[in-house]
Amino acid sequence: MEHERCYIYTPPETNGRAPKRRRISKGDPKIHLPERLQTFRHIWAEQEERIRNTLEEADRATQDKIVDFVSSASPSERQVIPTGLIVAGPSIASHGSFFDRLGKRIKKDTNSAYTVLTSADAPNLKTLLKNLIKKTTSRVEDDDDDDDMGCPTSSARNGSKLLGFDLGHIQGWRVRNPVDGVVIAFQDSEAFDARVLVEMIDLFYSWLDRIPFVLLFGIATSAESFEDRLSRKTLRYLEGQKFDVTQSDEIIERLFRVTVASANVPLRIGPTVARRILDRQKDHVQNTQDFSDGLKYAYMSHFYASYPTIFLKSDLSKGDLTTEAFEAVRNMPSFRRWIEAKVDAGESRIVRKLLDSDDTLFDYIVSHLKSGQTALNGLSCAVRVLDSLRRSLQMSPTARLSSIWVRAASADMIGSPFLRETMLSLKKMSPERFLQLLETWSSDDLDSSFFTLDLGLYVSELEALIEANDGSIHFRNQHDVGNESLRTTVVAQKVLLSKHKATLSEHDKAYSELVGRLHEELGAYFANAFIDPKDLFLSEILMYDLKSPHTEVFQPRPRFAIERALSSPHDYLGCDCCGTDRGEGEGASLSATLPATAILYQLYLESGSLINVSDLWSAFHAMVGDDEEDSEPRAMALFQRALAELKHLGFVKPSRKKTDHIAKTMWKGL
Amino acid sequence: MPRPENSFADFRWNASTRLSSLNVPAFASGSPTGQNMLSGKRKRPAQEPEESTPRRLRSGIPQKQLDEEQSGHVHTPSKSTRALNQVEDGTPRSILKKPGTVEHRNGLTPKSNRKLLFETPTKGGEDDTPSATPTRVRNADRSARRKSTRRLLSRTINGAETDEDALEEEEILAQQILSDNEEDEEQGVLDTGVGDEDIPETPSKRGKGRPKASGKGPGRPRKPRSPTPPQDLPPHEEYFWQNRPGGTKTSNNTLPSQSLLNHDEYFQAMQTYEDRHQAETDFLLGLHCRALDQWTFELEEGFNLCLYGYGSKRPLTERLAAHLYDHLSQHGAYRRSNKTPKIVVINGYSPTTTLKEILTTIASVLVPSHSKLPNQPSSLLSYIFEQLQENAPPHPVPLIINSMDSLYLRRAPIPAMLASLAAQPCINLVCTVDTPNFPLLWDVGLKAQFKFLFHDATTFAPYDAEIDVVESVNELLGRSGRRIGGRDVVGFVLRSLPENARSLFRILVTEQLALLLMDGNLAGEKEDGVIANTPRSKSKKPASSDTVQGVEYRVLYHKAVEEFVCSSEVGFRTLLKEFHDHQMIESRKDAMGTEWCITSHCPTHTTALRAASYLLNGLCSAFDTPRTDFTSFAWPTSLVSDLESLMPIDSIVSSQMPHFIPSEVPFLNAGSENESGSPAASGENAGAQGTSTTEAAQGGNAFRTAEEGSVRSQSGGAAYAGRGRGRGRAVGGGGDLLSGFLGAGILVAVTVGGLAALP
Repeated sequence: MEHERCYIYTPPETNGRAPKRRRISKGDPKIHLPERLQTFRHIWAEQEERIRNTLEEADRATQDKIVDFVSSASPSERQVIPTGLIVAGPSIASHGSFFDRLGKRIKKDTNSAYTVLTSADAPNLKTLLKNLIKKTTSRVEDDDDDDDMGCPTSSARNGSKLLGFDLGHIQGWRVRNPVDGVVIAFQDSEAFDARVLVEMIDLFYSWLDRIPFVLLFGIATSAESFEDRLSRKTLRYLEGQKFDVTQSDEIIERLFRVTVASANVPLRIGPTVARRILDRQKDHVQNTQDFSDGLKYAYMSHFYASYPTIFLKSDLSKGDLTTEAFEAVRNMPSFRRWIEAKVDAGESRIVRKLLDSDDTLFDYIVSHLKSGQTALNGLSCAVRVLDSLRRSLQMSPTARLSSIWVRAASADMIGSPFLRETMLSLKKMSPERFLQLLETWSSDDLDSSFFTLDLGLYVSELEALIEANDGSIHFRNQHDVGNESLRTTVVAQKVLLSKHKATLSEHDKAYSELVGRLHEELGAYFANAFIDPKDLFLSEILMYDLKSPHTEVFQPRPRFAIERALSSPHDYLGCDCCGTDRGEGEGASLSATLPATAILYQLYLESGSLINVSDLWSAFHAMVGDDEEDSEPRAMALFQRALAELKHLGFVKPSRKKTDHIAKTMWKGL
Repeated sequence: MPRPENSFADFRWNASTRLSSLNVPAFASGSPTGQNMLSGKRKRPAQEPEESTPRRLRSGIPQKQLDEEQSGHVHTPSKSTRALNQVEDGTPRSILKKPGTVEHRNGLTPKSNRKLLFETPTKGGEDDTPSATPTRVRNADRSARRKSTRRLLSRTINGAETDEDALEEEEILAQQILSDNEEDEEQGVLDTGVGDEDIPETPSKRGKGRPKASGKGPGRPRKPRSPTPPQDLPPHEEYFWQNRPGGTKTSNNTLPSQSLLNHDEYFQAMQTYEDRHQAETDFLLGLHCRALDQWTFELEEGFNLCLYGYGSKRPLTERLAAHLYDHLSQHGAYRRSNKTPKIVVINGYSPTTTLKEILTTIASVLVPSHSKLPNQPSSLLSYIFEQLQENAPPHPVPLIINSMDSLYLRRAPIPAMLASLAAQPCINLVCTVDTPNFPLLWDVGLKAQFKFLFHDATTFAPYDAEIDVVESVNELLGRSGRRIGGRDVVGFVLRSLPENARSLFRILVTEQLALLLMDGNLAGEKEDGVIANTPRSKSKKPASSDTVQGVEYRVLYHKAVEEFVCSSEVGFRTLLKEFHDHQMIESRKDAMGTEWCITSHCPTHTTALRAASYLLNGLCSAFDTPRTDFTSFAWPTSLVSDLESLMPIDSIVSSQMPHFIPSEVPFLNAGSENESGSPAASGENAGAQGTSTTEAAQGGNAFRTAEEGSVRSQSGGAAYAGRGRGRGRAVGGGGDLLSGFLGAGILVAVTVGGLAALP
């Protein structure tokens, strides 16, 4: 079938595959696989729901505005085309989904037709109009011949056929489907040819008395640069309004908050994976979809490949499990650490039971999963507390919640300068900030089971203080340096510096004490909450933190893989003949046993940017040719095949500089 | 029992995990720190005598030592060096002549190079006294720019100096500048390094201290540069090293045109080749196959797959297709019906794959009835989307695209359309990519639509289907003209000729083949025993009949007239002349004065005959006629398509044809057996003659070994007739496989025609 171009797969007649697929080995990876996948789907459905809600919520404000704009723009008697400039930010990849969602809203909430055009639809005005008409009136017709394009209704009405790009089609369509406005969205306005845009706007303007157009331009740069591309005459036809879309990094932050750093997530990604996903977002993709893909894949990997994830199933009973699952738990590093700690503590009887009895282990696992989840939820909650604390104190540099969480989850928070600095500025907090902070916390719906501080107490005490201070909120904070002044005295030609503290009133002292108490309690809370997740028993189940499949799957290094395969085939083949006697340096790795392409690749690496094929051949022949005389055609065949492969992979290209020379196009490792 | 915290990678135990556990010295050494590099540079002179190649020594070390080293030249232990002596040019380690070599051949004493600086290096300068260095005063009032302009001018006028000289000068100048800078730091090292070697020779001149007048002395030893390129450069340095101006000096050797193989020779050579890593490659494929379950799961979850890595991934996608087929067969939709899951496979490497074809194939799966499909790809695509929305398939349709990064699928609308296709939840895309830089094909938007998961699927399998090796190499070397000639010309000529001429050629080949077939079968039965006993003596057998080689002119003419190919003898001759001009046929007269017409593009090779017979066999069973008895045939899977390219065979060979043909049998799997079973007596006697004639023409170059010659004389019919082509080596050795196809195709045409006429 390799010579066919496209075909439908048909299985070979012989069905000899069946016995081959039975696995005999003991470690069957498919134990509980359906259950595990079911658990995965269950948990992921929850997450997906959260993601969807977050995305909708993020867009809602902007979408509301746009929908209002569209519906208010509908009345007729207009002199200009109402135009929405949607500044959607530089993350082009998420524009498509945004306009999809927007279209659904507009269709639902207003009586308008909605069409999205991309730059691919509009190489010139004619094609643009054709596509527009086709999409708007949703006709399914062949457009390969213009003669057929005459819409029967319009031709019947006018007696003459309309051409395929005549806006009369839309007019006719509107007669049949009365809509208030025809909304046309240009998803990537930067990619449109400016001339096409100008012509199109002129045309739309001339039709405005018959078709109520509303234009929406998706803009990745800025509204000003969009206006610069149009002529002034054209701009006069437009009446613009600007809409700012929530930027994707902001959305990512919110997604992270609900999917990872929220308090009710049964499974989390670990700091390594989280950091990778976030970095990738920042550096490359900037696409909300990709974030959720990464998260999903982490969940998939977790449940697909690891037995003990079955314990995350919500209603699990002992009878559902096989001994393999328990064996797997006993092999986990966190289990060993835990057991060793227990042995050290002298609880050897429990240890014995745990090692022997599955029932006991099951009970322990269930209870520890609960407590582990609680601990992780507490950690996330503490992160949110810290985040809102920093935001209330307006500390710089601004740290994102996600980065705080990653630091906390990698047990990098306790004793870090970051935390210390925050706590210090907490101590110096002014009363206004204090009030603001307390408000933020109470409005932040932090779960009281995790955030143990009694906020109400602080609020009431502070209010009492303010009352006692004659309703004035001005307190001096004992810890604040701003209340100290330096006094310089010159005594006997020596300069003496002395600190002078402003005298504090009773209220000031009480306030300072209150702040000090908060500082202390919060410090204790953080010390409690910022645990090292890796120390938890069963942390492997509760947190997925393996970078191995994740990185390669999302950020492949194909060039590296190919170069590696060619330069050291032993890595892949694991054969005895090559690579056993690899000395230092490149020379030792070149042996006649290598695959032909690998040999040629080595020679290729050593040569300059222009390669003489004749010399290449003689070198190659010297490598592979043996003493038998008839080996030459075979060596030549191998040589030709290897050369063709190098060409296929794009390593070489023909060169006209000299005869029988080829040009090198890739340098290894660059 | 795998450790529980490990996930995918551990279960798959795929290639990449294997990799990670191995040591890779090559990679580790790839990026030495700058520190190491520097020190390595400095120390080189000290290490030189022990480790360097003899040629490198020549540059820096006096003649005496050189002679000693020459003896060491012979017994370097590696195989490559041993073979070096047989090859006329260069060591295999360095393919190209390194630029340093030329300079250092005559650069024994660095002194001369240094001196050049103070002279004007131009040869024809009329204003300078040749021997004297210019005075300081004169030097002073010349600005550097004027000097360089003058030098440039005189160089252009003289024209004698090439770029190489210029380069040499520049290098010397650069070295001068560098050495001035580095003198202080370098001196210490040099004193202990190369300086030590020099001490025995010129002990008087070298004091302990710093040699001040180093420029004048026999060696302020310059750092000797070796002709071998510097090892272990970081990648970017290597790039600049290999791209330095004038840096690539390659020899002017050209590849002799007959050393490149043509299709026939290539395939023949590859049949005997056994990959020594076959077991490992299979194992690697097996490893990848263990991930099939995982990939299926990933597809189910809405991701698309992209497989990359070295080696053809077609075997892998075939397995994946089989796996998906099995998997989907369990789906509820197929439980109680005889419908089967549809998996669309697209070979992107095929040059004729069009977007429309791809979309039509997909649409044929999705659209239940044979409704009319839109013509334009874009409207076809939107039609598919509508169909998907209206009646979605019970499960996502797998779409496998082999070599999605091929040149033919890179054109403008195709990636975008494939991406929008892949973005549909009802379509599961699995694609393979070959080139290392494929991610550059897709921008962020497309990537987001593709939603790919990438997997390293290095298989080391040969790109058999993806690359046409011979064609590709010819193209690479700019020798596309080569293909015009020999067998290929037939296709071209026939395609450009009118229908009548094609028919005439068909008649000629048919006649000749019919003669051969009859003769060959009889001879084969007769001779089997003889050949088994004396396989080497075949070519010496006496000629039985020379006449069967060709078709008599008269007969041919009558046949042609019967088929209304031509109406007069003049027209007949005119048609034949065209073939003559392209050396496709030749005519000869026998002793009786009868004219015979022979074409060389007719299968005289037994294997081709067998293939043709096999086709016959299949046809016979297709038409319920009694089979002729042939055994152990080889059958190329590509035969039908090859035939198609030559003539419209699809009209006569029914579509059920492949069912009668075991497509797994590799073509010509047992070459020697085929040969020994040769029935072609006529071919043999002609072979003897053919050998002699070709040898005469090529000066004994045609057959390199006697053994080969005996085997090849089997195809001597071709060699004999191929004399007209005059490419002794290329043609004489050719198995004429594809010309066999041609003949076989004609045979089919004839047979079917005959069968149709029978009842």
